[in-house]
Amino acid sequence: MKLNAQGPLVGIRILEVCEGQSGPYCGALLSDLGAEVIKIESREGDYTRRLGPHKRGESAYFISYNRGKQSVALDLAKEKAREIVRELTKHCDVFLENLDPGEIGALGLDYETIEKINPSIIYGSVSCYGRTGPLADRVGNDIVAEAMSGHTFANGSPDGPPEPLGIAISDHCGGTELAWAILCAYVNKMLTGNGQYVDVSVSDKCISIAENVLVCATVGDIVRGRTGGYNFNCGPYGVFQAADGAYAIGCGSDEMWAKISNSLGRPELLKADGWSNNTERGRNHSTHMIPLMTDWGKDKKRDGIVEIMRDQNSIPCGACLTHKEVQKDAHYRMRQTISDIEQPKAGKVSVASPFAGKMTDTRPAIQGPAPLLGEHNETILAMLLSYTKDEIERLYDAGVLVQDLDPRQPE
Amino acid sequence: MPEITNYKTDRDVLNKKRISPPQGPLTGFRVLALSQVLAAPYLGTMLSDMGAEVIKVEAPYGDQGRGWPPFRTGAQGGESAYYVSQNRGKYGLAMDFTSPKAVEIILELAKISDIMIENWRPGVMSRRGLGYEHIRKINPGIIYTSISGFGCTDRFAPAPGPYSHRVCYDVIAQAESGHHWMNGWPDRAPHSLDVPWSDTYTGSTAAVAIIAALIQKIKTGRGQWVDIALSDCMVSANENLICMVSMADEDVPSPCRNGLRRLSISPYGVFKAKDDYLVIGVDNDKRFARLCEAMGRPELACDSRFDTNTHRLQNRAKIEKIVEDWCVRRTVDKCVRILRDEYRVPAGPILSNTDYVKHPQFRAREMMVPIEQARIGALEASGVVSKLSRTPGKVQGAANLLGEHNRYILKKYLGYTDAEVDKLYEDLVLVDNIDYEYPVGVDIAKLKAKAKAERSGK
Repeated sequence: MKLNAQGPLVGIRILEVCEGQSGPYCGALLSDLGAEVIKIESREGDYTRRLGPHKRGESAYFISYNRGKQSVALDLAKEKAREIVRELTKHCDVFLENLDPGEIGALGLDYETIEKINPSIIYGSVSCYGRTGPLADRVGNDIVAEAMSGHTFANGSPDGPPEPLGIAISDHCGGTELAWAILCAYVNKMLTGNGQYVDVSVSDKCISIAENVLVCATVGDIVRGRTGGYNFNCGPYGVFQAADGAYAIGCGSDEMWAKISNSLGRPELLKADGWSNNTERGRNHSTHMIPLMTDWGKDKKRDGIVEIMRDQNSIPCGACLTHKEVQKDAHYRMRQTISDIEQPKAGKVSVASPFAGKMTDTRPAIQGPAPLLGEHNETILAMLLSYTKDEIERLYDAGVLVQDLDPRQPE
Repeated sequence: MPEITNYKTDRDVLNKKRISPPQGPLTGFRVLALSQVLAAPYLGTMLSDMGAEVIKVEAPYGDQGRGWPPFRTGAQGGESAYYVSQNRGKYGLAMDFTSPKAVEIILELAKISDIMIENWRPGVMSRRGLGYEHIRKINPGIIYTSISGFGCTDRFAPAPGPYSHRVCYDVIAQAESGHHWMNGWPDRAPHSLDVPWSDTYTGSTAAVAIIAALIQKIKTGRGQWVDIALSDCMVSANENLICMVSMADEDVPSPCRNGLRRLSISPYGVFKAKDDYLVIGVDNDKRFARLCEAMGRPELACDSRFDTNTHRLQNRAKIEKIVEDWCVRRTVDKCVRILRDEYRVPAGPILSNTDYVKHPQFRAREMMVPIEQARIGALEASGVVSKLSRTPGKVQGAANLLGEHNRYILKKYLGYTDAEVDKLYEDLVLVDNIDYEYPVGVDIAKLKAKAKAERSGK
């Protein structure tokens, strides 16, 4: 299917040798911003093609991370296939990879090799630990990166076990950091003509992204433990239960507490011992805030509470939305944070934009659907490498090129 | 916070010594940052780490983060390490935004900046005469970046939506993007994520937008307004979930949080070992086969109950119990050695912040960087995340005190004389807290009242 590029990165071509989440997310982000992304897949394809749920053979996982890209599928076990990939790098500005340590080198697609073919290429690598340091040769993924960087340790309630984050936000962070670093390097390339190697570790990014958690350790040796998600410096700040769901409330000051205690019908708590001061309320979440809010909310509907708090009293409050609700939400639709795309097999599906920013001059937009395996083999090889129809045919016959335009749902 | 006592700092030393020459791909680009708390300051730090010159402008009461823990007390007073960690490597101005002269100075600086960032509530910058519609007139090439909860509402805004007027903190963005819903146990209320991910993740997304806009600017000379919302960014970080619910029939319930294990992959999550917990993440069949070998059960890899992720999900209780039974007989160390080191299965210990700051991996990656901070001396803050081979970034230096570089910046870029700067201090347009022992803001109302009383006394 033909793609429609718009945005500030139109004209930049990216070769993506990635699977899973972090690298593909980076590629999708750059595609939203207008870059042309060619995804190189192995014979079996990106493994997320096989992760459920599917619709008519197309995976929600794969679509989410790969819409707006072109797919070239090759049997990378064959030298000819790798040679084609190396040929393609001559025509690209950026190379992305997130394979397990050692794998990209084994394919002969490491930076040292590619740099000789295209010295001005920007070669970006994203991995769990980064490509240097004592753990550089170990495998890992989002859940390991979150555990290594203190997040799993601090997620959950004080009296329970450490919990994994419900959504692999770490890979989104790693992919975003890689996009940032690559574009920084691209600015340098525009000014000097030089390419370079960019190495991003998802664990590093997860450390950097965690507010004041690192300095708590380095400055005060303060362990950041589990708080049940409540802010211990102010309150009520966190998630509370309603009769039919949950809602979040963020109280950062005593003035706000005046509004909240009024809304709860408990104005006397504004001045009461243990309640009156922000820091105290933060500390007293488990003894004061949670029992009070739970008791108050137990017979009230979630949306009713949000209406009282947010709409009538301007208190920072919101419903803990399910993904069904998020997917239909009018605000996200209007901002095109969520939009519908037409997949060749699955038909109409919704996706969230990897690039969530809005711009006035060069508007980012989804370029099109996620590709089927090897869907763009002919186009790319003919356009960039001037292969003839016959040559391409022979590559199929030799099993170098692979294509699957009619995916079947795994049982 | 202790009582404030004044002391005298050598202002010249402060101005000269604190920030070292920048390096990195953004060297030579200037950023004007009207930023506070977390999202925009984190963004400013990313820009500074890559070489940009970041000039942060604060109101007299200062960035709220200056009042947040942890604090460190040194020979000359204390400082919030919170503030330092989000603002290292920046120059600092502090001025009374209500004064027309202050607005004029900010406009003059905007004229010579490439990028402007702000995270005030939508509408506040416009009311001050500092909105995009004001800045674009004097500097059409500027990349003006606004960070907010639900997006900007201005009539020039790229994508206003129905919620753009709402107040939003991190906790609201987590709630309204589905992140809370997926975090915790299915039979209990969900809970917030461990840290304010939406702020820093939004700062990171803004960095990508800015650099993309900068590429456009280098090509065409044109600037633009970049509008980044916490809620949008968190929605985009939803893995496959939005697509997943759109594929499902109406009557299928929305996916729900799943305690210690991730919902749509197995075995994937936190497992109990003999002495503590660890994580194991098997996201494809190759890795599953290696896990089975590591457990001494290679036959499980081709067992029709477990051979694909779909089958493992159908029998997740069984396979997860097999894995946990194997783990619980071994220590975390032993499990990780076998799984990660011998069999290349993604697995690892669950480290606390005090653990990871000592870990040789993060030491080797220079994720803890010593900086020399006024008042409190050396401390370690987080390092430059992305490692660039040819034009590496670096931490440019300490965080600014409130108004620390007032004189330096006004003299250097706007040609003010010392006497003119003194006059601006006297008129309470410029303020600083350099002579305060603790990093608090300045109560401008009090100072104004005092000045008025003095004048009428005369």
